[in-house]
Amino acid sequence: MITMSRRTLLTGALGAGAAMALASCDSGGGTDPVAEQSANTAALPTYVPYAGVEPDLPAELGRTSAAFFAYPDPATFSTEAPGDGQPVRFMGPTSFGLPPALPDNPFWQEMNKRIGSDLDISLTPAGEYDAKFSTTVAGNSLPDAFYVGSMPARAKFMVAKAADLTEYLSGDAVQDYPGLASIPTDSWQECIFEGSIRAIPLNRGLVSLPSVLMRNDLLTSAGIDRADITSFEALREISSEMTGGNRWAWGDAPLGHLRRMADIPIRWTIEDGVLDTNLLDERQHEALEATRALVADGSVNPDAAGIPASTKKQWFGGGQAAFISDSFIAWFSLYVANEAVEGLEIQAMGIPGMTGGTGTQNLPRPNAGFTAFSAEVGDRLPTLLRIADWLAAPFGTEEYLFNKYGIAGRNYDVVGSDPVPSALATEVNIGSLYMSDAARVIYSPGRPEAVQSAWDHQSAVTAKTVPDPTYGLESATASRVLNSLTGELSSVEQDIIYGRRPVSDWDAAAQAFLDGGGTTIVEEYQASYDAIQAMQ
Amino acid sequence: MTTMTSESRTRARRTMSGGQARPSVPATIAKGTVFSIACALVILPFIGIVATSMAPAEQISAAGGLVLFPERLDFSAYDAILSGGIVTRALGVSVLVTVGGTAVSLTVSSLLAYTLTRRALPFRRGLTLLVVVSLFFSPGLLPTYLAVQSYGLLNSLAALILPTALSAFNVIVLRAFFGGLPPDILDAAEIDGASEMRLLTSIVIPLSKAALAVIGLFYAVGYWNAFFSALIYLNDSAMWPLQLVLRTYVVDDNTITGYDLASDVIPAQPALQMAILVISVLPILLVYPWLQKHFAKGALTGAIKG
Repeated sequence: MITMSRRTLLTGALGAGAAMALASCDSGGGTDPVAEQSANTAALPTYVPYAGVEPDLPAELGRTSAAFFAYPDPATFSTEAPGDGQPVRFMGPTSFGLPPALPDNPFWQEMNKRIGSDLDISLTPAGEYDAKFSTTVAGNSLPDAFYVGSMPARAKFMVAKAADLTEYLSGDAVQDYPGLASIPTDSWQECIFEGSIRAIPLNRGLVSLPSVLMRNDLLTSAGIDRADITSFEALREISSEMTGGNRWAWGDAPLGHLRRMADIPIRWTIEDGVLDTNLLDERQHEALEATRALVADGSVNPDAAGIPASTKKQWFGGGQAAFISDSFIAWFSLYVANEAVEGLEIQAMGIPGMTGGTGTQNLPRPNAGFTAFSAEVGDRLPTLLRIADWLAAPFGTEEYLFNKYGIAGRNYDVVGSDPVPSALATEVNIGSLYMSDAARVIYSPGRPEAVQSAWDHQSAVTAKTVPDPTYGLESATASRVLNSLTGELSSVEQDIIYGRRPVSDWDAAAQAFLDGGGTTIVEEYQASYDAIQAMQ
Repeated sequence: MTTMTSESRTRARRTMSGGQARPSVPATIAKGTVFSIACALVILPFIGIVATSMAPAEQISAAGGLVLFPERLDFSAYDAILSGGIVTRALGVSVLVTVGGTAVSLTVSSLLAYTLTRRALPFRRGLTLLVVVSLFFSPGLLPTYLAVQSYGLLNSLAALILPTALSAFNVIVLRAFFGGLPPDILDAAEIDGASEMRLLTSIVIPLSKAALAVIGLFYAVGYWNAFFSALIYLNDSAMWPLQLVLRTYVVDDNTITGYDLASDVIPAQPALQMAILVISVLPILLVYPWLQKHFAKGALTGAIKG
């Protein structure tokens, strides 16, 4: 059994160079960081990884996710239906197409049967969810379970309106819910509000690493070895070679990747306990110059700016772009979306330094958000937790297979031991994964080579990483103005990248960011950080 | 006898009947060029949308998105959309809300506007002022949501209609139009024993078709385009109107699946997105020419009469 105390986590996370463990007590809008932080004293749920299956490639905190070449012989996770026969209302966001309604959806009907309660799920497009959530909160009409959207003073809201789960999940108590217990400890940090556990995390871990995905089959046919991308000059040269006719090397201007190559992947820094920003660092110019050079070379699709992600993925699948920036997990969805592409081979680009050596990978947040239960559910709370536990059944179980792939023979076909999604696979997208979800692993049915490549990539790029030092820190100014300041800065970035303004304009824009609130944000983060340190 | 010089003849030729100088040829060409460019800027994107919705998948893939001239016409996107899936159902919801909502709005607006024109109405000025004041002070999202919730309208199509059924601006325009009708006709009908409702339905409304057509168009466009009220008030995505579905797929960039279309054949995503866009715009484009003859008269009513 692996156990990890909160203190251990905080110490590890906030030390410079800490890898994955990030102290994240509340990302809401509290105004008194000291009070907020000192109140977070609940014992975190004990981490008990699921022992029913042995991964083919091991998980390592901050370095790699567990990886599986094939789906193991499914083990039964629960012996009885977790529900109580009463409907469970849930609201959450969705980034998928709309699922068929319950009467037309055999998967949904089967899920209700297996759970023993009818899931009444209300989905809202992810981009609009915060508006829906805010009005629902204001109308005091929260359902039994809800994905927690962004809002000011979220900590106070959670304490007032979300059920206290501490009694059921704190410490070893979570072992009554083995699915939830198999979610890594760092994910739970985000679910503690004023000393109590108020939510369950939707873990993503390292599968959401920011990455550049490559059409390696196109590189190979052009006689290019991806291992030759060892510096910016090499990347620039290869980008030019991959551009021609109706193809551009890049589906987007890769400023994020070039910042990783320049060792400044995140704008916030921490050194010897002092928070700061690298916006005025010379390397910002270097990354901007490099991105601008790729655009000037014609290696970036001229329509890239402002184009939706689906179009870029289409370019990638159609061979009009050899490289696109995306999340690590898109590696596998791009395979699924482009099954008809003959010889398709996807790889992720390594992160060399600008002039050789190794760049720096930024670590993502451990969660894709979290879900809470209404404080008004009363005696039903254990039942709702059992349902959440069932939905979080770990990889390798029969329940996971059903939750993720649906009904065998309908939503997927079994090839070997792997579930291969059928044409009816989208029936599964009812949004239950936003209510509760298992810890993520690397797995792609029928593609063991891709699994190996993906794990290898994770292992390689996480050798040198940096977490966002502001995770879990409080800044009232950030919750108020950071989005607009970032928007203004991004606008200048775009102007510079596309040659409309000189690179030298960056410093003035960065200074405007700092003067417009950035400096205050750093000070507030520092106060929040110091408050946590004082607890150590 | 005065002899006309060539210069004065030229000047005379350039003088139009209204006394304005006729523009020179270069000026005309310049204006024509500017207007053509302006028109092209407006029309080309629309052509791109229509063309992409009818373009074959391989051409869209080769173009990497939008196309301007389809190699051949391919209506599979429209076939898929209208094959009975979520998009078809959303289209039905939108038509129902637009037709039903416009009928409700015209009814309540006409009743209020007519009432405010009647001299016998006590506190007429005060009541009119109340309507005008509501133009300047919107209740805001949350109070409206709470009102909808307290009336038990959440998750019902009535929530898409009733909160916006009455527009103060439209009532004021209608009141101005009704007030401009010859009072002698109404007086004569009253002497003949016509009730207020009879006056409204038999005299006022038949004489106000132009204004009602314009106000109806305003309301219809409002109902047709509304997506936010559906987002806030509806929990069941099966009740979503077309504009919210359109937003999900085009603005939020979610992938359109076979289930959304009730079709095994899934055309190219840009073609589907653009086809939904065309379908969402088409009804308003089709209705507008029929109402155009009333538009100037009806729309100007509010501009010159208070």
